[in-house]
Amino acid sequence: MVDLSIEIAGMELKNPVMVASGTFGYGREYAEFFDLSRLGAVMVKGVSSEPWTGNPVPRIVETPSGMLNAIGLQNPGVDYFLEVDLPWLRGFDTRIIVNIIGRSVEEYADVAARLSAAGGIDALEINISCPNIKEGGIQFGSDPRAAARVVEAVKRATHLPVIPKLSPNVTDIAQMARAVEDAGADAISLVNTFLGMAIDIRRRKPVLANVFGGLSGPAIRPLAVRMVWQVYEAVRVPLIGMGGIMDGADAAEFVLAGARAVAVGTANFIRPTAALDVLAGLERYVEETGLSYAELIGAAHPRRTARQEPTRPEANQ
Amino acid sequence: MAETFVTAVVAQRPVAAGHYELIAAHHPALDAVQPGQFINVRVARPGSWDPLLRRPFSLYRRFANGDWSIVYRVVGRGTEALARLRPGDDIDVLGPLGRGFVKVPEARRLLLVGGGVGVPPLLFLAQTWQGQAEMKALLGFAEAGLAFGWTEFAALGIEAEVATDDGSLGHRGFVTDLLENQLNRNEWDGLYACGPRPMLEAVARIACRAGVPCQLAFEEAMGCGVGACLSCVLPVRTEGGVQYQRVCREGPVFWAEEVYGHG
Ligand SMILES: Cc1cc2nc3c(=O)[nH]c(=O)nc-3n(C[C@H](O)[C@H](O)[C@H](O)COP(=O)(O)OP(=O)(O)OC[C@H]3O[C@@H](n4cnc5c(N)ncnc54)[C@H](O)[C@@H]3O)c2cc1C
Ligand SMILES: Cc1cc2nc3c(=O)[nH]c(=O)nc-3n(C[C@H](O)[C@H](O)[C@H](O)COP(=O)(O)O)c2cc1C
Ligand code: FES
Repeated sequence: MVDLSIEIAGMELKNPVMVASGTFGYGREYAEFFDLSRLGAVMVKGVSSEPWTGNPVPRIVETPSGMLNAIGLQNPGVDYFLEVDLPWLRGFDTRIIVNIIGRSVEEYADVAARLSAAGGIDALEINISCPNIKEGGIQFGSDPRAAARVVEAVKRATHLPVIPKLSPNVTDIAQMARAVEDAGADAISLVNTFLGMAIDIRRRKPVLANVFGGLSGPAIRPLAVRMVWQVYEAVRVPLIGMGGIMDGADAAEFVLAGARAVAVGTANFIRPTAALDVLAGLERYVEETGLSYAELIGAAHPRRTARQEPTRPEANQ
Repeated sequence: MAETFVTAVVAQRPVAAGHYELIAAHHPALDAVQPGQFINVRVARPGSWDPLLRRPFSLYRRFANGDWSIVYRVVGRGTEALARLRPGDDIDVLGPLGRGFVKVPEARRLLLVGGGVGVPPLLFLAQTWQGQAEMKALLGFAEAGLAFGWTEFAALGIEAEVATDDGSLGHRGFVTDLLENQLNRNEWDGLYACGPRPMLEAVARIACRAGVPCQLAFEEAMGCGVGACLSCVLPVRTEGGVQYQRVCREGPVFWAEEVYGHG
């Protein structure tokens, strides 16, 4: 079997396949279907300083080859996570990446500090697709300066690797990526969901109670691959690619576009073991190419010298 | 424990206008399924991601050879796709899911109240608990052409009264009229219901007034069906106050007063 182990932001991963935040809860539900130790990492559902109730229903609606969600980041808060879910998750031999959310820069920093003090967490992923309450509710993720401020504050609050997760709802994703890299990001996750909506033509009303929702699933894959490509050319930090990955071939597209690791999201809903299927497919693909995994990262780019992938010493043997 | 499995479609038959019973081959994953639990069925063809999400359905009945069935109403793309399945085709199932109805051990006389496609889990309940309690079914439909299920209850020796909104079959009016009649005339010590939300709310109110323990099976739009995505929440009264619970995990069955309080 080919070796897909890889280092990212100082973390050694047994393989590059993760599960995406918000699609996998805190792992308990899917642990009934497979051993979480087989995953490269688990990115848990967003955690805030206090519990968030989330949005009223309907929170979800299916769209062509995709779905819109407006869960509203419902979560039981950082204390509950530390007390109940983290100790349980630590029982698995996988990396634990905790996704953090906040309504102000201070809230992000607070959650980051409390998680870091707990130990047993491998990295923090910052979901910047949250409304900035102090500045009129505009998403941190749509303003490079606001995003950079969050990353800086979290960096100051933690010793853990910090992985901002980019919102795709921007005109220039490369600019966002450069902003968070300059602010100290150790890696970058992309993409979060695309803002969309669906209207019930019989009721003549939006389907979702929240009106807007985030589009995910195969429908967004070409958009996400394009953004990974653009960001790969713009920054040097490693990328975690996601958006509509359903099988190994899809994951390979992200790797070739420049992702060092990938995350499986919506696909979990269709097959609880989707991440394992993606891993198996990716292994087959790498094997067929006869190349090493590291060599495939960004390999679709015409001039790879323009941005040298930091390869591990053994990777090219 | 839930699992994903593929089994064969055995038969499809119309049971009412736009309603079909899909019979599928025995699979051990469903051997221990409890009434009120559900399955999440893939409706896209193998290899296709459109329609993307699985569709939740209640089990309708189990046959002597272990085959099982669902009854579904064609309302959109997913159920249209189901209606195109033919005997011998594969069906990809995730289940059993959720928490089903609880049988209160001392309950001897149970009333089952079903509205439309809420009838299936109650037939499965009747079949599973047959012989353990006396049961009577009250079934509500919009009109005669959409009615189904009473012969299946009868085959279990359970009397089923039907109400239709337009009076084209049975009582003219709501199934809750039948319920009020029953509770006025007889002693019932358990109420189990599934149907549209307004029906569930009315049933809860009537049950509360009559002081009869009542469980309701809810529907909500679902993503994962296993509790991971938090799409399917319902505000439920708990010791810690009103909290969102997951219809797919803590439900789909809840006690009436958990959801609607006491009246
Ligand atoms: C626990 C549970 C048990 C159910 N049991 C049955 C049953 O035994 N028989 C039956 O006919 N129907 C049942 N339903 C409803 C059934 O799931 C929907 O009718 C079906 O998903 C519609 O799919 P569609 O693609 O044809 O419709 P569309 O309207 O095109 O579906 C679009 C999306 O909305 C969702 N959706 C639409 N209606 C409902 C609904 N009422 N509840 C939840 N999600 C919905 C679909 O799953 C899909 O994701 C049940 C629902 C739940 C939650
Ligand atoms: C139901 C649902 C909930 C999500 N919740 C979160 C979340 O809490 N935090 C976050 O950063 N991303 C969240 N996401 C985004 C996913 O992690 C992922 O970035 C996105 O869905 C694209 O990947 P996919 O197409 O494979 O699902 C959520 C996605 C879905 C579908
Ligand atoms: S459908 Fe995902 S939590 Fe219920």
